Amino acid sequence: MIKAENVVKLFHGYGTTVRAVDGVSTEVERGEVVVVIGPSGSGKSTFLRCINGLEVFSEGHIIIDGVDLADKKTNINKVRMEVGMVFQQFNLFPHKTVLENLTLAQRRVRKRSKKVAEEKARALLEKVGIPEKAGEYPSRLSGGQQQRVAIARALAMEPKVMLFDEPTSALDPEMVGEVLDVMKQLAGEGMTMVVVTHEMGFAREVADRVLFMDEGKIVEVGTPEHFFTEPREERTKLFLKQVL
Amino acid sequence: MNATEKTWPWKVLLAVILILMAAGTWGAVKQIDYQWRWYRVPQYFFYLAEDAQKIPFDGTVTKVEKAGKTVTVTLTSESSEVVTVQVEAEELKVSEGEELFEGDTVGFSSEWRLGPLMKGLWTTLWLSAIASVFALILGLIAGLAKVSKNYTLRGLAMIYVECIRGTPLLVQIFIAYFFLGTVFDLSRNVCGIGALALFAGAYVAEIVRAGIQAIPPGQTEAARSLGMTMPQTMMDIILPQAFKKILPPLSGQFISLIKDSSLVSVIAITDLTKSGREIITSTFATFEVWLVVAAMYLLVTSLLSQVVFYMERRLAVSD
Repeated sequence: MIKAENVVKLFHGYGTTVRAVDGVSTEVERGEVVVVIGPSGSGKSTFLRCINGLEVFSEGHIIIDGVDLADKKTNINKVRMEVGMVFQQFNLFPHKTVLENLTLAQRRVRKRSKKVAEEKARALLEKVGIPEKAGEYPSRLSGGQQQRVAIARALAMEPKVMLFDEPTSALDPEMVGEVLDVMKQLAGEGMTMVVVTHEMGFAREVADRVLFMDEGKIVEVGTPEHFFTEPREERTKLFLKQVL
Repeated sequence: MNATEKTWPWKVLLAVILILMAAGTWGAVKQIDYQWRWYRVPQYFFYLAEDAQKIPFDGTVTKVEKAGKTVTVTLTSESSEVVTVQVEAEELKVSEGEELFEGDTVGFSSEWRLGPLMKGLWTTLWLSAIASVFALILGLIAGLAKVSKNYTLRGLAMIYVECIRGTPLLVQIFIAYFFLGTVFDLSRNVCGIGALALFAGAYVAEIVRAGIQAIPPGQTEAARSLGMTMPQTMMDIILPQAFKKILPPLSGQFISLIKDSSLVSVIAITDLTKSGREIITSTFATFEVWLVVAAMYLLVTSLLSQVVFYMERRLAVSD
């Protein structure tokens, strides 16, 4: 489904160059849930953002469903239709109601009629458990509710892959559960997911595979059992000791 | 501030200061022995115009019909041409059967007309309105160009904004009229509106740029991640939010534009300011006319502020 080959992302500062993502190669199968963990600044978010073209990577290839993002002829908007993204800061459109948040891209990008888009939107709001908030503006919702709307908004485009960029990091602790529940449900339905998170419980419970990144490189890959019980690398052991 | 603090002493102080200032001005004017002639001002808002109605040919008065305060006079020429004229009953100068020569006065009709102050105000208003629309369009284009990724667009927008903001509007109006107006054979109105629009547009561009940049980048990323194109993102996501943020500075800019429009009087456009100057030449009521003109500008700009205030509240529903 997703294939990354030797992806490199450079950031150029004044006189310095940072290798934020430094030669990452990995593959994500259809229906697989991959959790990416690692310390701050390890390049995991940058790598995730490369997958839907929010960051343009400097070298390498990312191939999604047979389409190479590095190919100049690739229409990035077409790719993004198939790759949903959920952000740490929700990024809901504050000037639109919840329903409009969910229908806008459907109508503009998928060219669906208002009626079809709204039906889809209401069904998804039902699924994430907040059908009664359709007419509200995002500012009237709690963080957890906003993040669930953001997930529904991405799902409304019927993507083949969902990317989650620390979806629970900006939430109050008591709201983390409701968002993780939606994500677990999604994983259970066979959605292909790449999740950057600090929620080790989620990684252990839901992930098919865990990637540990540090300094732009993948340090260790493995199943959750392997990862949390007998990590191989010293760097991984150190990290897990600090977070668990 | 302490919730129980009394406000009335400060209100009294404010009133006292204002009264003292007014008294001071009044006293100073007394010193120079100025003859106030406020009664001469109203006629420059509205006046009753009397027009002499004349017979266009040699002929006779065939019928005089009175209806209330007006009289309808039917005139017939020697070649049986018929014309009817309406005049005031009190000003009727002819009677039925009377023979008249071409150009004789049948009577007078009177009508309320707009005086120079109202006409000037109207000119100021439509001039500013058209200039505002163009300024908004120009400013939007230049503002978008300023945040564009394209170097050429950015460069053009930057040069435009810097040149306009770095030169006085009065000079720009002179250049527009005496240089561009002559070269491209433009009317004074086009030059005046053009200069105002270009001037305000540069400021609007900076306001638009600031407004766009004030929207968190996450909004663009969210829209783009849903597959929306950059123009779609701009139209549906960024500009509506930016517009709400820039409404107060934008309205300030348009209020400025109304005031700045007084400068077009230098290229002989009869706006409110020029009307005021013309009235002064015939009345010598300098103080009264300038005070009235200032009050009229103030009225227009405060009305505009009120409208914007109302719009801001309407747009605040999603906050």
